Amino acid sequence: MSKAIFIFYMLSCEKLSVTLGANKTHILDEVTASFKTGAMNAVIGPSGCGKTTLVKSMLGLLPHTGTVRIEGDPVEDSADLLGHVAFAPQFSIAHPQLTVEEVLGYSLDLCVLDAGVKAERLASILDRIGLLDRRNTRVSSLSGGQLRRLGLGLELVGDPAGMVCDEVTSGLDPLSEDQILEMLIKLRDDRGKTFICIIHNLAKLDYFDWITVVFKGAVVFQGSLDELKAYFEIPDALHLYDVLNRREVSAWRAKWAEHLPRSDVPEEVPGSGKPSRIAMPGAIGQVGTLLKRRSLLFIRDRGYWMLTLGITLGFPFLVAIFALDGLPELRGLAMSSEGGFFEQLEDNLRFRIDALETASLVTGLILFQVILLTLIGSNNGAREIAGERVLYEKERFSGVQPVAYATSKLIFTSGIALLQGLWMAVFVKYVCDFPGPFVPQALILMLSCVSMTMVCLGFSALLGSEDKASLISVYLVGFQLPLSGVVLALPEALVWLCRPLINAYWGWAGYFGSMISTRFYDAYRLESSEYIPTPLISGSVLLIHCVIGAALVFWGCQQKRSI
Amino acid sequence: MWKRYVSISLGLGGSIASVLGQGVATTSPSYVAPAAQPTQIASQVPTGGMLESNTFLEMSDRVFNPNSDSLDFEEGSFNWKGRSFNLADQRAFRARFERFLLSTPSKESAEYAALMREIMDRLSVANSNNDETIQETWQLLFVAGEFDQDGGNSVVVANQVFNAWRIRKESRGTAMSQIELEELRRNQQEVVANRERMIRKLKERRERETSVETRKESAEAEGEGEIAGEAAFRALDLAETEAKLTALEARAAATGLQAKLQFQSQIVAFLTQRRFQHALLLSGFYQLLFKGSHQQLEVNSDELSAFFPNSDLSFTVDTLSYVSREAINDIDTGVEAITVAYNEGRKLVALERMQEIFFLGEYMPELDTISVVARREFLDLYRGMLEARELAEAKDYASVLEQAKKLGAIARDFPESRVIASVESAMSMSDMAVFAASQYRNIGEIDKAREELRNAIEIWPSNPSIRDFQRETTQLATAGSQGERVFDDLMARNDFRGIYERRMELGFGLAADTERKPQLMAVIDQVAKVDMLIAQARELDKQGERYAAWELLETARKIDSDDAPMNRALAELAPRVANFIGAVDKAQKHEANGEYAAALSAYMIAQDIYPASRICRIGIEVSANGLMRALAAENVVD
Amino acid sequence: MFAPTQSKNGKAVPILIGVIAFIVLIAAVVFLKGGRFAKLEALPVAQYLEGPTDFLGNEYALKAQIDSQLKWDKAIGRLVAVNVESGRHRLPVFVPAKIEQNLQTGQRYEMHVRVETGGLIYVEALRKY
Repeated sequence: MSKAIFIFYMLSCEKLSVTLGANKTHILDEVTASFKTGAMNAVIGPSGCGKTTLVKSMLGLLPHTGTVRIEGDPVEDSADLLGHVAFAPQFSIAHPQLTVEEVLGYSLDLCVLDAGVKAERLASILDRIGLLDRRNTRVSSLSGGQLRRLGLGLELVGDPAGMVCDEVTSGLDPLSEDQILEMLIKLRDDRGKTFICIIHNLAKLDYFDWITVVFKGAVVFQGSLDELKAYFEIPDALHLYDVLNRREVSAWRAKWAEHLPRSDVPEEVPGSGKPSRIAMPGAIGQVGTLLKRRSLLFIRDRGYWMLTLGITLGFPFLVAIFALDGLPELRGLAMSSEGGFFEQLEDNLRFRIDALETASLVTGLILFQVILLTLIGSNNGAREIAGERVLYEKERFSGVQPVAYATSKLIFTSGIALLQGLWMAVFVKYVCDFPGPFVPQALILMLSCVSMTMVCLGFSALLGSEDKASLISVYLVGFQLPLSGVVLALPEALVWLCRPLINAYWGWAGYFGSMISTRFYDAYRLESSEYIPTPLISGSVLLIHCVIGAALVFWGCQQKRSI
Repeated sequence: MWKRYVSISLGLGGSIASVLGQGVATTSPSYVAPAAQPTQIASQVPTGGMLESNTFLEMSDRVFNPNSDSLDFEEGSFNWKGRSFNLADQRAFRARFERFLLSTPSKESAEYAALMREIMDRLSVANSNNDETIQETWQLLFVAGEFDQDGGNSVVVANQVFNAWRIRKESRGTAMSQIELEELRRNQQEVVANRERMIRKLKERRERETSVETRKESAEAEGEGEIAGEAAFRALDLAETEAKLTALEARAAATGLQAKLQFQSQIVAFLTQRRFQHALLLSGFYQLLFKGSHQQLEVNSDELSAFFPNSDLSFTVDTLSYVSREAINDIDTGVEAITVAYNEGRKLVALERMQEIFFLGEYMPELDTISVVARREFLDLYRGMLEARELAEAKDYASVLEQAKKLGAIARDFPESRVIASVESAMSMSDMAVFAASQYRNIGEIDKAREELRNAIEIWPSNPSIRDFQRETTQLATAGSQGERVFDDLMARNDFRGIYERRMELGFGLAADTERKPQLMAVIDQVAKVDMLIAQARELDKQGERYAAWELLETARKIDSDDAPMNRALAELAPRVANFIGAVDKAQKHEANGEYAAALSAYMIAQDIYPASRICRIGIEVSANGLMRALAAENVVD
Repeated sequence: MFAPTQSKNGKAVPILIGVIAFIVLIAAVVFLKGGRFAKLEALPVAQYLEGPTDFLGNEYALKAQIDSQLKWDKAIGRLVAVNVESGRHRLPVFVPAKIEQNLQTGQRYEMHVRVETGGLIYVEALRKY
């Protein structure tokens, strides 16, 4: 087909195949289809025939083979579709705690740079989706239909030329269904938008200009409703599936293959709405928006912030319990031997025992602090990304940059972690009266918390499910103690194999190292000549952990997950 | 304890011998006095040695004195029931006693005894005696006189009787008047009433008479009761009769009175000579011859007073015969007692009684009833006791013990164990004194040693330990004279151990050497210290503290590095503390060279081996000080 | 027409960052462990004890724990017995007065030492570890 023809097809594919699983079952088998610009395209077919797969793979949301073109240009990546085609998933993905206006507002903030445009669009979208009077209602309070409309509204934020709607009307009452379809038509008429809708309700086919029938992984018909009726020899579309089932897919394919060649001259189509290329905010702008939104969500999520506050404040108490009277006084050992030989031996022994006990207590407390902070960190990071992955994927499709997203997450969680670490340092220092310089100790503790947060955030980004990420994070926390080698002696070979990776060790070492001029350090050193890294080294290592964590986050955000 | 000390002159064995000899000589008088003063001895209890020897002597005196208490040889008298016999010569008595014990009763003596019995029976008042029988009896006396035992006394009796007869024949004439006088006197007895008057009269009369008679009458006058009465009578009679007799005597030269007097005096003589049988015989004849009358004794009042010192009997012939009979009875009883005691084994008691009885009844045939066996045993006992006494006096304790054993074997009641205990105690006392003397001698306190030795000798002169002591002292004295040379020699060679081994002799020899003695003491002290350290080290080593032991030996080595036992001990220990020694040696070398830092290191190594080391502690201190000083000097220079 | 307004953040980059970071981490740890006086040779304690004067003038690194103070002089410094980390022995070291640091029994120090006259171990500098 010539390019000229293609212009009339917003979206098309050639020999598109999607396989799944190890035995390579074809979900889509060399499908060739095209969708008209500025038209209401419907994609129908029995359940499990591959409608959603076709559409998603064309959007680049699923791996596929074959060519996909948008207005004639081949699509390499879903990013190519940005601004051209939006995707409205079946269930709207919006934070329940935000209001309709906020949801749309933030979405606009992420996609539109110009404030004026944003304001105008907001009003326009609200109006269009008919939620103007519900602008201040929380998403959690919306009805099903309203939610669908909001979903559509969210997709209109980027003012795309076309929109793919995945069963937007399914499950709604007929009135709502009609409302939505009406809305779509209005958009088509007013703005010349193209819609590709996957629908189940065959009764509403009359809303649609172009119908694509998918049957068992193959496109078996594309055309208008009338053409469909004629093709399938059915009085109305309701009989379609029965008729389909009478024949094998191969027969239908064959039939369609015969029918496929059509007139070169396409119908008159209204000029495709040129997608208005408005400036999108840069990554930094997006970061800011995301942070704002996250902060708002944090405040609004009572349960979450109470938990966070609880552990932030509570954990230092746990540490303090073991040293409510402050750290024990350590009697010193005389430098020069004045007393008799056996007196000296006795003194020596007494001192050694005292020293060991004290050293044990102090290192234990420090390690306890650090491990609690790692626990806090894991709590910060584990669910952060994995918990809203779908939304992220959707927003990413809408134009949110992974870097921005990752950065915003990193900043947000780290900020909390820093405060938590600082609070732990302050509290323990002044309640338990830990000696040593405050600044290095605080820095180390903050770094401990932050680095763990980032690493767990990384897991959150890398792992698909919230639960998995949570589990891995908890395991990681669990291994901090034994693999640190502070309390339990590791075999020589494993010590420096594990330690670099054990956050708690560096936190402990850095904190303890800061106490080098204190009697507690000396007490520890009495029996142990083991290398203790300086606070500087420990901090550096923790920083490296942060970097690794951040890298994991970026990498994870970079990964595509199915919506 | 030893208050009196005997001094010994040093270096001469001869002087010791003289002391010993002197000791012997001084013992006899020295202990008699204490023996006589038991109270004094008691108050001198603290003077141990002397008391013991005195006690022994007392005891020995008592134990070994065979003489009966009754026989007081000092005053030469034999006391028997308040009557004392003169014991002119104790030696002679002893000899006779022993002879008696040695003798065997012969047939002869039995015959003599029978004969005497017969004679006495014939003289008995129960017999109706006429002149003829008297004559026969008188003839028997001559038969008796032939026996040795008789001692011719029967003949004396016979002579007296004959004399009396002769005189009587001569004074027949006077006999009637004498008889009449006698009857008269008798009548007068009834007349006399007032005794006191009589006594007074008697007194007055006696004052006019001879002093002898006065004494007798005053003695008689002090008597009481019927005895006084009779005495008064007697006195009166006597006075009158005497007057008569005197008158009669004036008439005739040899009168019956004279015969009587002679008779009487002979009887008394027999009594005092303990010839009781003959006294009885004579008094028997007297009764017969001077029938009833003239019983009163008129003669030998002195003798009689001596004979009856406590008695106020008026002496008649009856009295004398009574006394004789009493004596004879006593002798009989005594012999019985002796036999009984002997049979019971209480021979000591028997011996004592034997002596008494012998003295009393020496001439009595009853003594022959004592068996020969008994006699011999008594003799053995007697002699043995005498001998033991001699030995005790000579303080030959060993022999005394032997003797005591023998005597104990003979007589059951001989206090053998007491003797043994006493002897042994005395012997040990002497030994202790010798020991003390040797100790004093060894440490050079010669005066004290002398005192002790004197004590020892005094107690037991023949103590063999004294000989040993003497020998030892001689040796030491010999050595002592060489002492100086030996000492100097050893000192020159620094052979302190050698000096120590000879310390006894050297101590003895150098006791008076004011220059060498302190040196000797110092050396002894030093070596003793080393020995003590060695012993302590050995003990520590046993406990497993070998390093501590080595340190002690090191200390000893500093005192005397050439001491052989110390070096031996060191050599034994060294392999087991080699590492420590090596370190210390190294350290000390460095220290000596002034390399204090190196010395410190080495000392520390040593101290790590043995943390309680004194040597290391001091070494570290010294080295550290040295080092600091050196650094200070450097500092100043810088 | 299609003008991407964001830079491509490929998958490769984060991985690369991560790996490099890890390597850097290990390297940093290993390197920094070295200690301040790493360029100095360690004092050969056994040989030194054999002959202290064999090492006169040489400079070494010594890691030891303070055992006791033998002597102190305000103007000069202090003589301290230390337990050498590597061996079982004790050594006397001299810390001059100019090093104003509190020394307590049990503390561990890394010392820069020089062997002075007579075999004295003179401490030039020390760092607590």
